[in-house]
Amino acid sequence: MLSTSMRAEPSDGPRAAGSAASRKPVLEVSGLTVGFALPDGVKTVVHDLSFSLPHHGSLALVGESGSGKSVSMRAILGLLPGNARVQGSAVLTAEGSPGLDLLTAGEAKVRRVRGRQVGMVFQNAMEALNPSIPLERQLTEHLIWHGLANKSDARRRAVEALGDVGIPEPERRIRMYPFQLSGGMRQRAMIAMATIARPDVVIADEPTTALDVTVQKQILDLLVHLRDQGMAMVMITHDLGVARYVCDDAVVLRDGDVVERAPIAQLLRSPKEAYSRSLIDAALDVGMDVPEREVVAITDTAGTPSEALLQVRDLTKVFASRGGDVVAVDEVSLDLLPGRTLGVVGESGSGKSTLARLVLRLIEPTSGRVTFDGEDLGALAPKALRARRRGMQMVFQSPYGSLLPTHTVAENIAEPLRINKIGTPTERRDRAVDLLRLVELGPAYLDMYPRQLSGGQQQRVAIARALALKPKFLVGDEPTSALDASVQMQVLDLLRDLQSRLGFALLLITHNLAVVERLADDVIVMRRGQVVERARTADLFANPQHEYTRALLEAVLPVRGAVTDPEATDLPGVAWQRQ
Amino acid sequence: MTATVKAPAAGPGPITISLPPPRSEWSRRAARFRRNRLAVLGLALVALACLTALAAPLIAPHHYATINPGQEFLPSFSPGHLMGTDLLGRDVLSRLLFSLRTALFVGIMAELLSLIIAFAVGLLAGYKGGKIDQWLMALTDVMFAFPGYLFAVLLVAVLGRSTWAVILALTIASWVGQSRLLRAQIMRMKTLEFVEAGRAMGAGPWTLVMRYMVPGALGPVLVTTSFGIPANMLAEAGLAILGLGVAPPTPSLGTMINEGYRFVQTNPELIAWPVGVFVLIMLAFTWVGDGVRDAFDVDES
Repeated sequence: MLSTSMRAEPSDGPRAAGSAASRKPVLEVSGLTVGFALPDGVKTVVHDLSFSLPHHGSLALVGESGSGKSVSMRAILGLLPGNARVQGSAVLTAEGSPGLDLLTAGEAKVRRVRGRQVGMVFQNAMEALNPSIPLERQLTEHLIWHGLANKSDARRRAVEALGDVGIPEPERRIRMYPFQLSGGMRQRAMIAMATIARPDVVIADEPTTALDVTVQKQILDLLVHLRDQGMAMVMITHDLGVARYVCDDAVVLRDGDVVERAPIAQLLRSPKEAYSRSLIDAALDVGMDVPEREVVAITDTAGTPSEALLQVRDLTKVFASRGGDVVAVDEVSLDLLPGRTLGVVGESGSGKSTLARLVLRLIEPTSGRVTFDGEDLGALAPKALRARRRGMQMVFQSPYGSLLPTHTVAENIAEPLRINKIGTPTERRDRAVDLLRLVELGPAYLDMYPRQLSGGQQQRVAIARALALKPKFLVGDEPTSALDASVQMQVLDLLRDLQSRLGFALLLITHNLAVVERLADDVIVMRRGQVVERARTADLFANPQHEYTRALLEAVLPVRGAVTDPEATDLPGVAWQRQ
Repeated sequence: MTATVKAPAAGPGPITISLPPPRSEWSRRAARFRRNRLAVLGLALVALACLTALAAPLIAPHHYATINPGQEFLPSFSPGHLMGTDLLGRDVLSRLLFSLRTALFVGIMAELLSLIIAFAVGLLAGYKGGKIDQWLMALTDVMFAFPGYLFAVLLVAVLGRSTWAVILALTIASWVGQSRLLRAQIMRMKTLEFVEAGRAMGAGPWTLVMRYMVPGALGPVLVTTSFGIPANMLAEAGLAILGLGVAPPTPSLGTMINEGYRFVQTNPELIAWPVGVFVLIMLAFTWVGDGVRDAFDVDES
């Protein structure tokens, strides 16, 4: 199955940064091919990947999930499992030393390189840092292993390294365990670990994907700062906005093949390949042209606002925890008119998902009232509540996680009918066919299992299921954030079309402002359980009132339009010399 | 596992579909089980043991309790007595077949009963939580504090030596662990998104537990079940060796081993046959358990 197709031409075109043209690149990868030996033969996941990374260079490997971007970088560092088959070369050239081919050097030599000449930053700092030992040991033992420092020296440098990545009070924080730090601080600590030995190259695998947008921007600014000090970087990302913000060059990967390589500005301006164009076109941005949606509902017929379908008054949820009570949702009130969409925007911990579950009464509120269709949900007995829930449905974040894995697509879609004892099995199946057509999937999928579908298809199935009972009200909890960028917009547009045709009201929970802009009529912005701003969508984007809303908007990294320049950090310069 | 779906873009005409036969979760589990050769062998052995045990009255050459004076201690492969005779001249093969019947009946029944209790307790505690959970778990704590085997000895001593007394004793000694396992599984499942989705669709508690949670919780429970049956059989044999097993004349592997042990120096085959069969069955169940574990191991590929 190993293909020798040469879709990847040797590096051509002008480099964005011409400064290093004369010098040898730090990292030169050529013909990298990675496969995995499986019982039924070798499955190739990366084909013939070549790129070269100049000193001070920053290169983005861009692609969707399964494109082979992470695997290729792990192959270079020898971090793949035993059944991996790796070919090609990856020559690392440190200043003033002959090149070393990481793929043929052997484990002992590569181990000396890892962490010393090549640093790695992972997506999830909580998993990548050792939870049972404090930061100090994780940072220092690294230097001691590599023989770069003795004990007291290592401690001093570890404190410095934490300071360099913008962790306040490094002397105190170095004694902490990873779980005692916030997500952003953990990511900074991991970057400190990856860079403490001043490696020639840092490989960052989706370093900000798990972070909130405002924190993401801070971390990216830090990486840019370190790059300016002399660190060369390969960044793996699915987010073209992130790639544009941080990197000079980009390599677009698809199913393990190189599709296109170009300076990122040029790639975004005039992509040569159709696939690159489709990726760019599919990217969601704030400030895009939003297709008009016809509001079918009877909103302002006589100039008076019609009765709200959903009324939430002073809703509060307090979770008791060991460290004291946590107010997840703090006296939130909102109204949702029939057929309208209300976006709820917030970062992690803002209480937006708790709000969604409170509204559906999947969890019990501490206080406050939810009225749906004129009925106080809090006053209903369990049985009556279950009957009421027919009118209100939910689409969850993880499409696969919310479908029954042991049941076919048809059974999953018909599940709400089955639960509520509606129709005969045949009628339910017929209805499943109709619903599947409604979400633009053919009947061929009826008897497939969820795992055989792509993420986007799974989410369509989940939407079909949510519509089976013809609800008046739908809650979407981050309905597209688990999907690849190329299908997010399709699923959002599908939701909007369905809404115009069926007239349900939508409560859209999301962290992504672009999602809200595309779908919502009104928006509320939540922070730490409280609503900090509420406005018509257009007004919110044109004229944000609250400083937090403004911070959210500023943290957006657009793919189109004007370039956001990385913000200068107020961090001290560091001498980037390998020690 | 890709599907090729050809749908004409426009115009009439049938939609041609070629799909791989969809495989249900259970058929995929069966395939994973089959991949483990030892498990298949184990399952075959268990099935064989169950069949012979069931058919024991039909295939046993003699009655298990018929005493034949003058024919004591016949060696194996004697005419009419394939495995020889014991100290009372009883046919060892016939006794072995009926012992197997006893052992399997006790082992499977005790496991089944403890499963029923475990499901009731585990599902209730895991799903309801709160006070009910606290009380039920306090009860299991108390049960855990008793050494299970001693408890069984005590019970048989009180209830007398009958098959059902042994089953009851083993059940009481083994339901606790299963209950805790099920409770933990249900508590884990409760937080999964599709269970929440079920609630959002309007599913009641019974549907949620039986349709959404139990299938997912079944894997580890089936694994412990396939290890629990031989454990019960072993415990039954142990009770028999202590003279607390099922009442004579019903034979049991433990009784046979206990009697044979006295003549181990002169007639080792008296103990070799029951021990050999016992070891084989224990191994078979263990292999099946391994296979079940493989079957429920979710592989992502």
